Amino acid sequence: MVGDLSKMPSDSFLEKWRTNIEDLIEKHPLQIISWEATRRCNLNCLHCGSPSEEVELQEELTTDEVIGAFYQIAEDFDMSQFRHINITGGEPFVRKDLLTILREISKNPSYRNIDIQTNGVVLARNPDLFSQLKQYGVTGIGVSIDGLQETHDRFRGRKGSFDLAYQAAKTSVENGLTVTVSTVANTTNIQDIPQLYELVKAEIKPRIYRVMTLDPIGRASDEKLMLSPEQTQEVMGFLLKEYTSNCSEYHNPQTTMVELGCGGWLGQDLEGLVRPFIFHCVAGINNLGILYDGKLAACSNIPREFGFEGDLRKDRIKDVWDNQYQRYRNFDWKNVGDCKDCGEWDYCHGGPMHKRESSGKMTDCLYQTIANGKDYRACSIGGKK
Amino acid sequence: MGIEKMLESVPRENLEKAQVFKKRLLAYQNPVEFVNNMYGCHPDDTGGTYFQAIYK
Repeated sequence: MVGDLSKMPSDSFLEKWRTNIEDLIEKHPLQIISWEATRRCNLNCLHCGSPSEEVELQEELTTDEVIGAFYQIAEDFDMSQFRHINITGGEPFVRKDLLTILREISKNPSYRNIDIQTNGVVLARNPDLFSQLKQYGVTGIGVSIDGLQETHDRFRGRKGSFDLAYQAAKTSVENGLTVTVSTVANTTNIQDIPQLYELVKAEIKPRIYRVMTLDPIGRASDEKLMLSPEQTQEVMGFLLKEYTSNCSEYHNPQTTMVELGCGGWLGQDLEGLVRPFIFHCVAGINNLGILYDGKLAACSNIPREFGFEGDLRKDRIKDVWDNQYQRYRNFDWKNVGDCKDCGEWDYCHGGPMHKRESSGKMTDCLYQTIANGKDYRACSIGGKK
Repeated sequence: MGIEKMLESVPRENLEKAQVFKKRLLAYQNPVEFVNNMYGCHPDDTGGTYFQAIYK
């Protein structure tokens, strides 16, 4: 840790946090379910972390299988600490049965806190959906906007998609939902981010403006889109400036907060100064991932190459959660390469799982990039290094 | 640039304020209360308890 720069927290605060994290890992209460509703999508984005395809997938879970899985979880798990369901894709709204599923699962009181990550196309065109979504337990909407109009439309491969995303996010706010607007920072939109943030804050007024750095997975494993160390530092500098300028207003629900998404631990000095939480990957700790085909993972963002812990078509989910998630709760296998002897290990435990190959190889570390200028652009999943 | 230089570029009074909140984040009873996942977009299920505790 650097010197006493404006009264940094003492080591005892970090130790308390570490102790609490280790306690959570040991208990691993189920608090979040990430359900990858589908891999299908109505757009074809250059940077998508999910290699989505606009085709019918035979292996996709049926309506009854999805509903059955959620009811099985509510029956088998202690739901007293459960927080929410996070629905991702693909594009969740291409599932024609999405409302039916929401209607059925929200009959269980544990499932009244649901958020949906969307590109906004369907929502913008069907504003009448909001009343049903709210009735069926949806409380949050995440909309991806990846640049100003021209940049966003080029990325989406479809003119007009910016307007649809903008409209979906704005209407979601007007309907009283908690809204996150997310931008995946990459080489083609980094110049847009400050202006986009100002526009989003002034016109859409979401609760959160989230920036993520591009991860080398899915269609995004293209070095040309990945940020250089200097560009990554530029993004962090932007978030640091905005967070420290405005965080004293974050208690006000009308304020738009900035946050860095879960790209990783930033080091003891910078962590806690670019987002309204201290990062630790929660995959397999309190977060269960249900993939589109029923495979059980720890987060829907972890590449399929990493493997699965079970299959809800064959296994009881609780049995898998109790017995098959050891690699998400004991991190010794990650303590290799740049992590070995790193002074941050006790807090980050090797960083987010979506940046690991099953061999243990790390594909990216934001701390190493920001603190030491390390360049991971050629280290994508299955990449060269 | 490095982390130290990044922090030095922030106005001192802003950084001091943020460090107070950082201590609360580190001491919060559930250390990952607000960490969802890559797509997470929900503050918390009580409509702001977390943010009141940290930022008020």
